[in-house]
Amino acid sequence: MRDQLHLMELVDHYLDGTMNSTDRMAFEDRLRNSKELQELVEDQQRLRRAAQRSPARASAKKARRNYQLAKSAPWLGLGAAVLIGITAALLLSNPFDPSGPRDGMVLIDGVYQPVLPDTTGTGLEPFVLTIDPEKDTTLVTPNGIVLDIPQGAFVDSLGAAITTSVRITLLEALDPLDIMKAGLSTMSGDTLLETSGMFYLDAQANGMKVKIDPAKSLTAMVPAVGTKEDMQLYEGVKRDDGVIDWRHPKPLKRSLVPVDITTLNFYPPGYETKLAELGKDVTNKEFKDSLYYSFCYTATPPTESALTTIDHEIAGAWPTVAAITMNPGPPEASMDPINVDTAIKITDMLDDTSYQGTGIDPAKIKTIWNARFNNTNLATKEFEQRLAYIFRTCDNALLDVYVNNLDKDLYWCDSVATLMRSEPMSMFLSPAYGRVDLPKHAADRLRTFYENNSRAEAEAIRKTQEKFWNEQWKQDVKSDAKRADHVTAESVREGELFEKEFAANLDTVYKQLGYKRVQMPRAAWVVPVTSPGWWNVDKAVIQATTTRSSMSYTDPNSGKTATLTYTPLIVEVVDRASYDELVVYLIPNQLNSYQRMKEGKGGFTERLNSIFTYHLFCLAMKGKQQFAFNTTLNGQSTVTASLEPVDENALRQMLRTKGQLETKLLDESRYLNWMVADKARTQANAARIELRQALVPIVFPCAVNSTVVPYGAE
Amino acid sequence: MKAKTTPMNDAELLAAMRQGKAEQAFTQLYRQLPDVMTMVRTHGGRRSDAHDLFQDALVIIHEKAQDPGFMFVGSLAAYLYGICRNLWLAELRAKGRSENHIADLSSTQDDLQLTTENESLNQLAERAFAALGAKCRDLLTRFYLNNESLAAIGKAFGYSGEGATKTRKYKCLEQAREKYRALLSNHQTLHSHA
Repeated sequence: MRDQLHLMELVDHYLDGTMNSTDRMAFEDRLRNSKELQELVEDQQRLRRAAQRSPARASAKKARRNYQLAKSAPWLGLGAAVLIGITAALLLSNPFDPSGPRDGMVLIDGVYQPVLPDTTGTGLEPFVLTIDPEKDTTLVTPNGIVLDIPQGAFVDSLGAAITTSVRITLLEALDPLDIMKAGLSTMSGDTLLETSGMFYLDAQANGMKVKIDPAKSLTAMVPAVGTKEDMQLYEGVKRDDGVIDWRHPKPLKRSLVPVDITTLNFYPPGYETKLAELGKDVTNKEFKDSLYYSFCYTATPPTESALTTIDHEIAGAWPTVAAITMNPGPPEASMDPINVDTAIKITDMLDDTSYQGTGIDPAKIKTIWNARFNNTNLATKEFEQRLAYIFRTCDNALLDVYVNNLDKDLYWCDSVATLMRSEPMSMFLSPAYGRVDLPKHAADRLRTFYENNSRAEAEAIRKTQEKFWNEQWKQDVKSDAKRADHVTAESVREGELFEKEFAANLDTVYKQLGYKRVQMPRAAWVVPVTSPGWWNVDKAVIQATTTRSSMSYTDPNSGKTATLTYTPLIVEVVDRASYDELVVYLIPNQLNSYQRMKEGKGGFTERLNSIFTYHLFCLAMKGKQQFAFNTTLNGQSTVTASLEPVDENALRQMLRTKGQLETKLLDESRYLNWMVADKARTQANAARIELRQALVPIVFPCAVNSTVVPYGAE
Repeated sequence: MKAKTTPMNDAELLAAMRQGKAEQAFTQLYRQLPDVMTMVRTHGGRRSDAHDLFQDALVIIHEKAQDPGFMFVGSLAAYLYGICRNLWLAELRAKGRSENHIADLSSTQDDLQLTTENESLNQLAERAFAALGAKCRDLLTRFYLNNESLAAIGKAFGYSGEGATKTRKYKCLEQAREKYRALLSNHQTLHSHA
């Protein structure tokens, strides 16, 4: 990772021409031989160019808006209503084309028809289609007008539903140029309307004009530039002077039925399935929510926290990569490799840019999946359906379109979404949906809530996460120190014990040989030894003590023999496997110390020195429960230990006779207790990281192998 | 009502693009859109194709204009039209569209062909860039367009040092590259099936 970043920096130098000639020649040499490097240079050049182009791109978009504004109404102030003209021209004609209508999308074939009197001179080509009025029909015209005709929409002059086929004639004039050319006006009474396009609709059955049932109005969706608001449907009425006057504005909509928002599913597709696969409780919404929301990312600049510090220390700051230090943190804390890994994982996890743009920000979902948004467009099955697809696009801007326009019709949002990403959003254009009625101020309030809150939610979640992992990191450092201390203490104790046992063995042997033993300084083992006899004895004893094996030594001068006897002991613990942690100590009663028995396949083993009497003490943990076993050894070679649950008092009782050892052994029991809890903690952390990693492809579907990339919305 | 301003001549248009007044220059150049629209619509394209093309051509002209040695034959409007024609030609070729249109549009102006060559890849890079988070976009624009120093950028973003700023920069660049590569492989797949 760091190498790659470094390489990119080199490429920058190369492209900037800031390399010295030696470096440049070396780089070019490398470039000639590495296809990968050639690709990197080419890609980086393009991306640099893209960065340089971005303001020009924005200006081009603005210019397009300026141009369209000036073109559509050069003499008109802003704020005019948007017009979609509809004229129901009801003319006599014979039924046409009996083949045809079907449910769902129907692409109208361009069929040229003789110009109808109403449209004389428009020069527009009519599109004609025959439909079955007893079925729902949705039409999409070549210019993209979507017309939804509900079943039974057409009635005769008496109000009875038409049952025979209905011939629909459509003329479209969506471009201002076409409108002008067709000589259509954009006047509603004395008011000039800004038009988003006009279309002409004629419907006939059996050669007779038909009416539209007021209770089953048609829904038309006209492609519109996303920023236009208040689109309305006007009815074109031809005045005596032949000019069409646009009257009776009506909003275009199909009503939405809100449900309780908490009953909807706003998780990314596959989230719950994956959790179930991982054996998690999918009925627990609180758990699902908190886990999902923990993935949020935020766009706020990182603060000077401990984790950002690691981030920069580890990945950045080449060429002077310093030792990893944490701030704040204990000064003696040095991280072991495991902790570095964990820190990197955590840092990656909390890195606010790592997943940005690769999925919908869970903080945004958290903000809207809230009773506040009940009775809005979001609290509908229709939105739920769209959200599932928005998740797949990874485009947060799409979600924003729906959330920021609660006072608009859903199909308005759908059409903007389609402009942004026609695949897959265009599938929602039909049928066109209206909105859940919401007062404007409520929509504004909710929009503000969404904008502020999703940021605040993200920040709060990030802080909580950061605090948690910071704390975990500190605990890791402390726990490493504690383990290291314990290991040191144990080896010190064992060393002391060895010395004590060696001294006792020497005493025993000297006594047996009839020598008087002079207390030797510790360093005696390395200074020149003057008496060969003693030296030999000492050597034999030290060997026996080290290897814990029996010895027999006969003094060549006196002929006396001294022996030391070590006999093996095997301790088998009943239900060994059921304990999470288990330690077995041997306590030689004469030495005021203890030693830990080593565990082998068949149990715990050690060789006992016959000059001591021993006590056996087992300590174990099963979950949070402590177990112990305590017995005096009387020369058995095998002991079967069946541990009993104990609390601290019972332990105290058990160890009461051990004098100074009592405190030490109680400390051991506390250490064991702590170790089990700490192990559980680190395992839980590892499981957390693992679970999150398993969910990343679901929550951030574009993080890997991304092929769907949002392009700046117009 | 604002008084109507005199249109800029070509030199003024170029100057405006160099002085950060691209929007003004572009708005004026938009008067060429109807010609481009006609060209595209009579050669198998839709209105939206013409709009997209025109935007791309403006961005290319803007880029060209930054080069003080930029030369073109005829008027800027004609140059713009030429770029659009070449872009549309490339698009038609990429989509494997009708040979008639292609033959009809094929240009002999090598200079323009060079200008629009690989433009589709540049646009993929632009899309990849646009898909970055706002912070990354801002960061990279400051580096590559405004040539701001590491220290200044680090300060503006609240990073702890130049190392951190540099890391962010290359992480952003790497993200952009990943997106670009993904788009590119998608693009190549599409075109190999075209």
